[in-house]
Amino acid sequence: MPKGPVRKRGAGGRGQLSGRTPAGGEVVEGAAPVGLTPGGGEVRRGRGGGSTPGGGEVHRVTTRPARTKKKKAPRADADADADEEPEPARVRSKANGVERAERREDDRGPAPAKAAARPIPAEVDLPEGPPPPASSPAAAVFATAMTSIQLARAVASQAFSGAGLGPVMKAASALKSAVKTALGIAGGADVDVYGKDAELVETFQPISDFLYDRYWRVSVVGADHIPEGGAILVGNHSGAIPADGPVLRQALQRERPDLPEARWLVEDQIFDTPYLGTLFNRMGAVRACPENAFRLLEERRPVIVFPEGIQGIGKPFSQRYQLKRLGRGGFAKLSVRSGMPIIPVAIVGAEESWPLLAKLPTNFLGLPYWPVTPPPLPAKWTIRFGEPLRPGATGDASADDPSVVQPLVDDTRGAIEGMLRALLDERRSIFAG
Amino acid sequence: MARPERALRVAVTGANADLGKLLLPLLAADPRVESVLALDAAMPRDAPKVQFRRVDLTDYGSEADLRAALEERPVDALYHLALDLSRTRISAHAHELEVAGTMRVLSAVAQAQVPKVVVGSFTLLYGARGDHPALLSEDAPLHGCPPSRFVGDKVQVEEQVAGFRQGHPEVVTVVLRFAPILGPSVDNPATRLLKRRLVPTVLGRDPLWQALHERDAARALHLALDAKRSGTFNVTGEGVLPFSAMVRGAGAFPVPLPSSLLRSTLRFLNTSGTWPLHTSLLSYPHYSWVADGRRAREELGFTPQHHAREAVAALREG
Repeated sequence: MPKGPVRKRGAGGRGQLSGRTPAGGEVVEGAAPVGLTPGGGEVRRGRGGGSTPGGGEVHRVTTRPARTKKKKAPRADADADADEEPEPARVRSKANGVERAERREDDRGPAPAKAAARPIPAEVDLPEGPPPPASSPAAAVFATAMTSIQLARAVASQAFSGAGLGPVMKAASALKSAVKTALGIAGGADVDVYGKDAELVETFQPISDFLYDRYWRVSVVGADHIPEGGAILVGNHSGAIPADGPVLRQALQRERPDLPEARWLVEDQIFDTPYLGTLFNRMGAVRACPENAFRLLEERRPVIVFPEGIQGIGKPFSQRYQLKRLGRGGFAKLSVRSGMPIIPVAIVGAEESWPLLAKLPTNFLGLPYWPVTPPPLPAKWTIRFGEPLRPGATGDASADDPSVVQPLVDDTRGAIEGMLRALLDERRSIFAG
Repeated sequence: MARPERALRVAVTGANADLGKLLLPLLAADPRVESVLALDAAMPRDAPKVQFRRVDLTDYGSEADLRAALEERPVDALYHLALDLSRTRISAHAHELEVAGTMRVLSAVAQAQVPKVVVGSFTLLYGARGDHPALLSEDAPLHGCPPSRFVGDKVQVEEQVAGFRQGHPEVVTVVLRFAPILGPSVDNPATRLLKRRLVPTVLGRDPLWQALHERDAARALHLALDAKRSGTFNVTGEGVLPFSAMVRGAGAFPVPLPSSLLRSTLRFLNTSGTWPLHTSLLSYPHYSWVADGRRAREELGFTPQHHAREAVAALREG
């Protein structure tokens, strides 16, 4: 199949596009970066532009009925395009009332400006759409058939673009790209040196936003304790599926947009697992090691650390909110060596969102265990950031000195435990907060 | 306008190998370079300014030949680029060429008092491992890829160069570790793998790779001529790509297989033909191996002009 960009009418300068294919289940909204074609082929999109390796063909209904609803005529194998901006009712009459323009684009060139300037250039540009001769009976049958197909498509697309289904389709497409990423076949080319796939994160944003705002209703306290210029955020790790890293990252993005983007560190046992580790890495997780932490701090980013590691997320539900050993104190050594402050973070709600009910042995899958857990529950999350803790002495020599490092570990532990207790005391209901 | 310095005379071993072929046109175009002495088993074709001296580095007597050639008319710099990346690699021959050949070259360099040596190497030598940091600096240990002689030989070459550097501080010894070089005219395991229509990958893994456009590789080699101090430099393209994105960028399709199945499939393919990915190199599509090009940028003045995406796309030109 030819690979070529799909031109979107009205794309020039305007970001308001959306396309939905009934058959393909694909939703593209404005700058949505990744789309998936039904055939498994992958669509990479620039912001505002688009291309379909899978389709290459664009079918357009040039008819605009009197009500200015968006219309599109996708095919099962083709990507769809549509135009949300209201246009005056416009009917291009051809013989027998069939209005159809079809354009094929094999070139990869940018959409010409005229595509944006003129509302419906299709027929002018590409006269190859078969003009049905009106005279013969066969043509009349053909035309009638085409009309009914178009009608069916219009009805279908209306149904799918209904009020509730849009976000669902968008979520489905995000989940699909997440699955492809986890399998290691996504092929996203916009990846930074730590492995974060910007396109994937953007595609996933509607789901993250929904979880953050509506499902877990995250509330954040004390975000102004995080200083500029780099900090080590040390939190309690919880939930059978560790969502606290990405949620904390999002909390910082919301509450402290002035800071560079935070990254969370993930220990080898999770980072190295197939599927999950790969997906986490593309979502922004960084392998926990001193070199990476230093580099992130050099970039003046807040670095999110869960020193409990897999012990934290692998503890049974009965031990919720009890801190495990804070690793080997690597975060404290990092603080001593770099001079960066530690911000203790308490997260409440993650334990109840994803309670760990049992662990199944799954060594054959390359996973340490398979967590038995319900789908995420709508517990209310609260994140509290504590006062910065600064190391007593800094420098490489002090970092090897347990008498400098250990007090810092104990202080951090005490601060997190204190905040956790306070938050749990304040909480009246797990779900209502 | 700076006065052109004394005309330079440059020797190149492995002038017919990929790196040599990339370098020779730039040396020919450089007005400072007066002549290029090609030391190889065969005469390089279409190369102006080149004087050819037949030297077979796998030959026991080649050290004397090298020394005679270098002492007859002294050179200002020697590029040692005789590394075997070819399709028809015979491991005994490659070992002789790379390990023994480097020994002979370095010995001749020391005796002929060549002031500068530039040695080609690869970021491949760091190995691909789960415990790598996101970016590998030049000080990271060269773990190599233990089951592979292809990588092991090249690690030995670097060990010899490191020893030589210690013993001969008066010689400026520059090592350039190249990320996988991609482009229409180069032929190495990475290009051969990515030029397939279907490329097997490890299911559930998508390690980060780097790619260096062949024009950037040539520029880096040429820049090393101006290096004032000894040093090892990672030479990488801009950006990183997940392996699946490299495969797709090259116009191929990734075929994800569970690692045990992939291993047996590759073993089968390896016995039945010259499949480019040897079973012993399986760690590379499994773990990330990304080198930090900062030092080359700061000390060598090398900034890649091509993103990894362009390097991969350049494969289709060939």
